[in-house]
Amino acid sequence: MHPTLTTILISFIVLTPLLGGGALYLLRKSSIGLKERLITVSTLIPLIITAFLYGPLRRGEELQKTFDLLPPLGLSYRVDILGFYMLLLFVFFGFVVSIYAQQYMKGDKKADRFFACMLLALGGCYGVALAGDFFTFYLFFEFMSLMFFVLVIHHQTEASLKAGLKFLFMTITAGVALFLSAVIILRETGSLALGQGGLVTEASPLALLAFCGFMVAFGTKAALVPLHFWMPDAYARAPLPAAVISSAIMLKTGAYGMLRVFGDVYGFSFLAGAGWAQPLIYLASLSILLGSAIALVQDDLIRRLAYSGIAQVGYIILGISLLQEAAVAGAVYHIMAHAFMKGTLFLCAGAVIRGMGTRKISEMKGAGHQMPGVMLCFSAAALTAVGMPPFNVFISKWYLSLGALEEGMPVLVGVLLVSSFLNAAYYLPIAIQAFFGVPAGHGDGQEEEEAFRQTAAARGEGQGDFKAGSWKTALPILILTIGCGAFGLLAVNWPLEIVKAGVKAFF
Amino acid sequence: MVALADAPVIILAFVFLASIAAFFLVRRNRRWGEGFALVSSILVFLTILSLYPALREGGPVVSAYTFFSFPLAIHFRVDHLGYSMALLISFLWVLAVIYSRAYMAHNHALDRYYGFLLAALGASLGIVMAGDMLGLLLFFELMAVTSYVLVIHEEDPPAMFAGGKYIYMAMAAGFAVFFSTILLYFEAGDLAFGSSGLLTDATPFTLAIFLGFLTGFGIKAGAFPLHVWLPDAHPAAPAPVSALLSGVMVKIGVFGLIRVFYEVFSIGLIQQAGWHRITLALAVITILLGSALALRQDDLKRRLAYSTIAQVGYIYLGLSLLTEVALTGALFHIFAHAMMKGCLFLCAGAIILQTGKRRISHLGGIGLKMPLTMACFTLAALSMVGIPPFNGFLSKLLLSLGALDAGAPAYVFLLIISSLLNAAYYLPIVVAAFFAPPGETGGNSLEAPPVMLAPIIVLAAGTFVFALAPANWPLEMARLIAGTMINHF
Amino acid sequence: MAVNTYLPALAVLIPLAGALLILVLPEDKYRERAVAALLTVSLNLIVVLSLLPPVMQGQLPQSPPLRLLPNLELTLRADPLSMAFALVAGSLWIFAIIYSLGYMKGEGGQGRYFFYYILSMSATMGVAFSGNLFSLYVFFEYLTLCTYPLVIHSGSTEAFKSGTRYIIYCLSGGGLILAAFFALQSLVPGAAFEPGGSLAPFLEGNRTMLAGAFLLLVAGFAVKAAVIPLHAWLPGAMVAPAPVSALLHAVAVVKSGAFGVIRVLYFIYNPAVIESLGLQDILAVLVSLSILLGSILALRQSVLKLRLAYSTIGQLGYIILGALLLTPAGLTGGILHLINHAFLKITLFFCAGQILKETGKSRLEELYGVGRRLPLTMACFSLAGLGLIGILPLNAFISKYYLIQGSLGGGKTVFAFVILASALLNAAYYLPVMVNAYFRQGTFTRPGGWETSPAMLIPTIILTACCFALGLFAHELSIPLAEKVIAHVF
Repeated sequence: MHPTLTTILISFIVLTPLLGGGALYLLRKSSIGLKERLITVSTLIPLIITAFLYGPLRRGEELQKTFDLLPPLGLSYRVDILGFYMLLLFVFFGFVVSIYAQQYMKGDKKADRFFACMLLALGGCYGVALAGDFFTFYLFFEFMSLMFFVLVIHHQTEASLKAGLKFLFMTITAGVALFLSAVIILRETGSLALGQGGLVTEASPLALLAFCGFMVAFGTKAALVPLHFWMPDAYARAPLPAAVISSAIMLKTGAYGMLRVFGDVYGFSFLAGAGWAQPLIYLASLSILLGSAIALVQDDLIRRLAYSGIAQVGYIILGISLLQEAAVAGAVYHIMAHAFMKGTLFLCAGAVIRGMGTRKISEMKGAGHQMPGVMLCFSAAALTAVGMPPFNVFISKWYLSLGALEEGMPVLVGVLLVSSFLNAAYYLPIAIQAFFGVPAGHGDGQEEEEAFRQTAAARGEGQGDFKAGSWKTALPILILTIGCGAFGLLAVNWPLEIVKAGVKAFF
Repeated sequence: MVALADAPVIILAFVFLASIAAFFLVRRNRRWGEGFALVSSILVFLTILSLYPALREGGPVVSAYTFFSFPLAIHFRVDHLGYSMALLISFLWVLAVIYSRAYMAHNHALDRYYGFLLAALGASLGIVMAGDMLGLLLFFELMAVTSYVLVIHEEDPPAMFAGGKYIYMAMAAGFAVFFSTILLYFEAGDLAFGSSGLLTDATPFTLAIFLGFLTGFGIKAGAFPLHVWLPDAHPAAPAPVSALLSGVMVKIGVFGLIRVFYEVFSIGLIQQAGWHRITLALAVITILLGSALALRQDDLKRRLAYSTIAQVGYIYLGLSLLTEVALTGALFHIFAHAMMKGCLFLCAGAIILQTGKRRISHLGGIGLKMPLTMACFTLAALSMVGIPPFNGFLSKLLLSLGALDAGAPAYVFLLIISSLLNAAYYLPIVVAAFFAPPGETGGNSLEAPPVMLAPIIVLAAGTFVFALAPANWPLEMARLIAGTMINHF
Repeated sequence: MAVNTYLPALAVLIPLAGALLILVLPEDKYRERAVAALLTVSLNLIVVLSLLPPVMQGQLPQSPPLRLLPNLELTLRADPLSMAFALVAGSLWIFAIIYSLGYMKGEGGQGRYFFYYILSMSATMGVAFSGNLFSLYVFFEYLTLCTYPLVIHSGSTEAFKSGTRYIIYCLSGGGLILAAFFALQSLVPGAAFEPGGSLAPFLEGNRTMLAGAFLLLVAGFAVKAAVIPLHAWLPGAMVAPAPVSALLHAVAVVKSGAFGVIRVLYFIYNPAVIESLGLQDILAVLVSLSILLGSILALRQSVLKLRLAYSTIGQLGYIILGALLLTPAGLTGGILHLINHAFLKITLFFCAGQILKETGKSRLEELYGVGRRLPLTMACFSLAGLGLIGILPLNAFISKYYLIQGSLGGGKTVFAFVILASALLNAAYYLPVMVNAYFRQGTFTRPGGWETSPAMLIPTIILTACCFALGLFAHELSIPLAEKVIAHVF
């Protein structure tokens, strides 16, 4: 492809959702059908463009460019294998979730604002994946967070505002820390470009300071304990699609940033020598155990999913901070595995919450009788979370464990297993009580379900199971559920190959 | 003709597809669905049977097909051990499906029941036909989930409670196996079965591997101290499922341990490290504890369940004595116990279904009302006690011989004590059934319907036919396997 | 290279003439006054712009000095630093005039208002183009005097009280400068602004005197720059009409203080001299305290304009801190922040003015949900607020970047933390305003038609766009100028 054409195409990965968001704001008076098509198209185009990038990338074409905007470095993009992997993940989930959200947000008075900000946030996420240096990264990182803030406080209740402000301050702090680190690195090394291998060569106090700053920034975004406080509240208060976007995409930008810091700014071998990543191993382990343990006692389904997310991101950070090829591959693979798994769980949770009219797990008994399809998908995703083969998480756990063993830390395998067990302990009961122990038609949520059906019928729409719901609910759930396990069964685990190739560049 | 090497894949694919089909068929038309499930299970059994010539001619069947391709693709491999397990499993499953037709006639959610029954068959077959530890783990986890649904089928509070215990223990088992598998992969770089020991050193690291496997498979096998789920889960399940659980699924735990002892480690290594003493000690406790606790149960199915624990102890014992004869005994006992305990559980199911009584103290005179059922029960019970010419006798004999080979005559006494205990808790049931006066009036027969009786009779016959027949085919097989495994070293 | 031209003098004289023209226009000639004011400031901007090419080529256009006494002359001369300040002031004045036309519509005393408004432009230009300390002092006092009537414009008791405080503070500051000027007179008669200053040869033997004069000068300018504890006049001066607050107190007056500090540091003294006097660190620490205290006090304000005023105190500290770092990167950051903060803060003040004008409400808790009534205004406010926090791609990010570079380069990492902590505090006091405006329930309703007078709204929007442009195209706009200053000084 012609370089200019490539540049234009790549710019449109970010620009399409941004323009779409703007257009949505301008078209807020027009018909719902038009707006829905606009949302779909704005998320579909990036997906298509990204898919087309695979060819040039494989041929080894140089996919990078710096625009002379925004000094001191200029905006730049760069697509390497790892970036492509993240980008593909982001655009895919952006597309799927936006389809789901169209149905979920139906009837919401402020849906236009929600979708406009969602598209803008997605544009920010895509920008993060495409960023060619840390300033560009920072730009989109902050932008995405600000837009996400609007999604968090969507309902504009006191509680959601509180949750939103908590998120906002933590994310601004993260941004400031990232800024400091970026400036230090630029000053010390004269570059912030990604993909150059380790920029830092000397373990100076300033470099350490920058490292800490990076960790604070990305740790906050990835909800690493003890920087996780924003997450459960934000998830519980935000509309569900926003939580999905955060869980499947935004948390991952934190992990991705960390990966870039480790791989491109410091270099894994440098960090191994400096030993700076060591504390992260402990923090990540703490995240894993604490997140899982707290999830266990939550009765609010969304909160349980949120705390579980803290644990799962702990896996990713653990893998990265082990500084070992297999572990990093496991972590990067887990980025995808977790996105599919948690995405499915969230989407199903949304359908169930709508269907049962409650968010309390204890009131979801018998959900499987009312919404068998949804709860089957939920169960499959729950088993994925537990780490059952052949689902994706098994593979990530495998590599993480292998990496831990290579590093001589078999106890971490134990940590992963304890967490898996806790996962089982907090996900399986939901699946079990959905199907078993409550005779069909006598669920606790029966009355609510009836009430809901009546109102839904009055509104002329259904949000029950796949049958009652629209394809916009069913299809995303099905696609994500298939994604939870399909790669394990294919003859070639295609994402794993990409991950391995991407990670290899660091070692 | 289908390429033999691909038979495992075809069988598994068929079973899993059939389980889905059965689910929908039963939902649409119960009779058709049940018929379909039966035909499918028979077909599976026959297909496995038809593999025998190839196995005898060409040794282990290794499938070229691989899947779950991440670092190592999973492949299938049917050796003699796996083959005989597969045959046993599919055979018992056929009987269970037949039996279910009557037993489950008035039960709810039959679509789910048949679907998961076949899926559990697939998972069990997958375990025994897996060619490497990863495949074994995959199906091991799958079996935990599918059998869970069967265990809690009744969905009453005891079943849910038992199921809860079961699923978490099964998950823990899976994690333990995972733990050891990854350690094994790290240490040995390979997970395939069929070699004479992937590991060669006894280090704390390999001990951790050993203990992990022991925990994982020990849970499934219901060996002390990991048996706590078993006395709840086995009685809570519907009778055909109990029969399968006790008859086959606990054996899968033992099967895993055999793989660990002889193919992951090697008997030389185990012997040299002395780790078999751990399992020996566990076997002793399991046998005594299981029998002693069985004695105290008044619930018939619970008594059977504790008895299963004790019997698994036998297999543990035979496995850990590390002699050819003892291993033969253990392998044969897998078969023998499957027949006996399968029969006993099916009988218990028939009794419960026909009379509604579960307590042994209420079963006085039941033999008069259900003569055939109780006759079969008697045969199986006698086999349990270890009276010639039943299978149970044969396995105990082999185990005793093996113990003597290993220079540990104390275990012979253990077997004798256990036999006495078996007698003490089985024979009173039989005696009361036939000789105690019936508790209630009414001489009308409560005999189980033929569909239930047929599997019971087949299994009861199985408890002695092979012991009497000139060619004890299962014993030959056990010998062959034990010989290969011991001499491999 | 000095070049003789009348342009710097014209920059001062054109507004003076324009102001006089406005003065003689009858009070009810609104349209004519508007045309005159706009023409004046536009003409002036053209003059300033025409100075830019020669300055960028390294020339120093100079008007013939007006000699009052020997060694005491008014010199107007353009160097890169003057240009930075003059360009900012010149362009912002246009927006401010347009905005004032909207804001003052229907208010009394417009003739007086515009007269002093234009007059203070002349003073600001004088400050910018002053070629020596004496001229700077003169225009400095001139600026104080002609802004005083604007502060007391409303004529209320409170306004008079604030005005009195304002004039006392600023005249005292001027007094300090004058004292220092006399002290230095013996060493460098005239105290012309030369890059690197001309005091270096006199360092030995005059240390105490030089240090004293230095402190006096910095303190004198710091009064105008509202560095804590010399800031008390600034919050009070917020009683002035919004365009006055915006332009004078966020931009021209306080910036002339910061500008004066830079002149002192680099054009009378120089980094080497200051370092040998050993004063830079203690001053930097004091300014850091001012930054943090200003931000913390801003957090505690419940009136929007006061919050903005205290925020100004914090932000002005950045500029002075950047200069005090005595490194090229630090000074670059200071100059860039002088430019960037001007654009951002004037936007914020304009928005605050629109809110006050349209809703009559100034307390923060009364402004819940105001985004519904003034969506575009609040959008501009939010963007400018985010810009001050340091969010990309708005412009303040770039100045903060250079400031941090400067503090790291000097091995003074602690100041980097000061800037970051202040950024967090900025977030803490700006974000709630925006969030509450948009997302909390209030009593406001949607506007029909224009949410506020286009004469106010359009400048605000254009200024917001400028903030983006100054961020995205800093390489073309602000950075070359700052680099020119650095090249001139170091």
